[in-house]
Amino acid sequence: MVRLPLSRGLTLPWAWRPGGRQRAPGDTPAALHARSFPWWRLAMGVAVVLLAALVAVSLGSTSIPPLTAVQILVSHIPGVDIVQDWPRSWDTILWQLRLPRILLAGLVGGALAISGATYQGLFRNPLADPYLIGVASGAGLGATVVLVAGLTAFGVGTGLLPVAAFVGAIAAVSVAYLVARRSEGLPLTTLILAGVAVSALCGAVGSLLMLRSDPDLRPLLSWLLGGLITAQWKHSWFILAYLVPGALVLLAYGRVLNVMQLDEERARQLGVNVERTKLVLIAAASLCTAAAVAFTGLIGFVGLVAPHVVRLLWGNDHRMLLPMAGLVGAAFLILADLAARTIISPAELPVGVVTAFCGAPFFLYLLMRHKARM
Amino acid sequence: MLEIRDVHFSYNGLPVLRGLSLSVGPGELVGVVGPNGAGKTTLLRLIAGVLAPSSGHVLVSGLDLRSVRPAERARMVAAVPQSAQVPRGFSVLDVVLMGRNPHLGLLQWEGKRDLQIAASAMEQMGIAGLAERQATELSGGEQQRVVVAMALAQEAPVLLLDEPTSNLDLAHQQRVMELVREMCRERDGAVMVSMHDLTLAGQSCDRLVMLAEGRVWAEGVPGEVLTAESIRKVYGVDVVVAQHPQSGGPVVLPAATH
Repeated sequence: MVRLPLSRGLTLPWAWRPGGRQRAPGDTPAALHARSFPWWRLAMGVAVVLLAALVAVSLGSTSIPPLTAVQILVSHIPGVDIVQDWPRSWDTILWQLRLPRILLAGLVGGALAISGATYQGLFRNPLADPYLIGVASGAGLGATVVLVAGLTAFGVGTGLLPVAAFVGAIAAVSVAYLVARRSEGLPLTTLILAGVAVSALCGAVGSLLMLRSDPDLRPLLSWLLGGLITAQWKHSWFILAYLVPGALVLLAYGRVLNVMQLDEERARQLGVNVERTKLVLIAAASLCTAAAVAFTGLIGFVGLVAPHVVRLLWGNDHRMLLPMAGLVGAAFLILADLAARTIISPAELPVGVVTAFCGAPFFLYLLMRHKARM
Repeated sequence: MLEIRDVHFSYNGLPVLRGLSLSVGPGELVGVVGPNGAGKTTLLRLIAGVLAPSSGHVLVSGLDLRSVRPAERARMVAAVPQSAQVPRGFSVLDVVLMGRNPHLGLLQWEGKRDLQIAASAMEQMGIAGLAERQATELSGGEQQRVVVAMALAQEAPVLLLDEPTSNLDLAHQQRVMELVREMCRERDGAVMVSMHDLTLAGQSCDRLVMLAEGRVWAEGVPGEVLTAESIRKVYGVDVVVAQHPQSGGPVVLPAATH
């Protein structure tokens, strides 16, 4: 197994040790601190996400002062009456363009990061990401089938593409799961291999379909690259419908995921229903990921990098790791999307390019640390 | 307290345990010895609930382990497996607190009492001073004691240890076995230890069970079980069993070859 880099040896000032204070050898056990949820850390994370959202809401082709932006938002709360001293167009920009997009970015980033942290914990592999066992390629195949079959031409519009992507993602993970499953349980290594095989197959079929047909493939390509340009409020509601129950389940399994870090046998000895845990975690994380990719396509590196940032800062306790990774992922994608739409404005970069540009060097840095430690 | 009734177990169609019965009373320390492949580890894993017997019963305080939920079983049986791997990214205290898992609800965090239990388990294993260290930074022997402390924190009446001394130096072997004895007395628990070192097993255990080919070959006080004859028959090797000059217990020595 590849070893996780932790803050040991990291000299940046913000990297204090996981678990906090060092204990002097003579300390009595009474000095041990009771464990409880680090609420202040969560509050800090929420504040960072809100701050990122505020920055993102103000900046763009039209700059809106943050205070005015807040006023505009508050004016949308039913029953609140504020004198409008801003141009009408600002309201439209904010309420119909930027805010749905920022909300979607936050939800997608959070969903990918929580799922990524779950997979990394469940597979005990720091290189795992939310697309590991087939979600991405399944979704891609679903989207391709819809476009190539010309279904979008029948007046259903491109509205069918997210649905097909979602269904494809769930189908691919289910196939990998069913192939890997044994009567005595689910070997996770087999599941990863099955996921790789299913991904390859989906990719091959997708390519073949694209070659054999000639509809306009641009919607597909932009979906594959990932992006938030088409964001609408209803996309966020769709994701929330999966993310809220999915994330709640994942968060509830935080301590169980910690125990699973021992190994399956000892987790079992410690009273964990290991097979049920695997099924629940895979199902919840896959649903969150599938819902996230359905509208925004394949955005890489968020689900991989955000959990590692949290690990470096605060250690491996999944009860803290999962929610904090969600917040870090949300803030990261909000800011990445801000960069994507402002850097070469009025044109837009695909957000996947931005996340890869920030995420890939960080990932290489992780790999270099692994090499030094193996 | 722990009772094993006519347990059979096959792995891939090959019988590993063939009608094994034994019992361990409260406050009793029983050593399981036998050659590689005799079924020691399989027996312990069956009791720990990691494997299910093909037939027969494992009872703790009269309750069949197959009829209880995993968490309840983990409150009755704690086990220390052979490999003492500790997870990356957790402090020693974090790892020992994992032993409290079966006592906690899904959303419950470890409270003061859990912390005290973990602290006393670490104290017992002599690792209290390492509580805030990263578990993976410790030496192999220290990690092994962390894993034992985790099982102690589980506070189960039945404790199983699969070769707990295999990675330890002489001093720590003695120390761990002494601790196991103490624990057994103090908590009045039933403790079962599998061991390769026959002399150490004879020295520390109240009773020995010698397994051969999935059955109990001999059972009784160490002096009765560890005889040159039984060892020759079960292990297929010639040994001399001497008397310990201080305790009078059996000391197993390889026979002189020339």
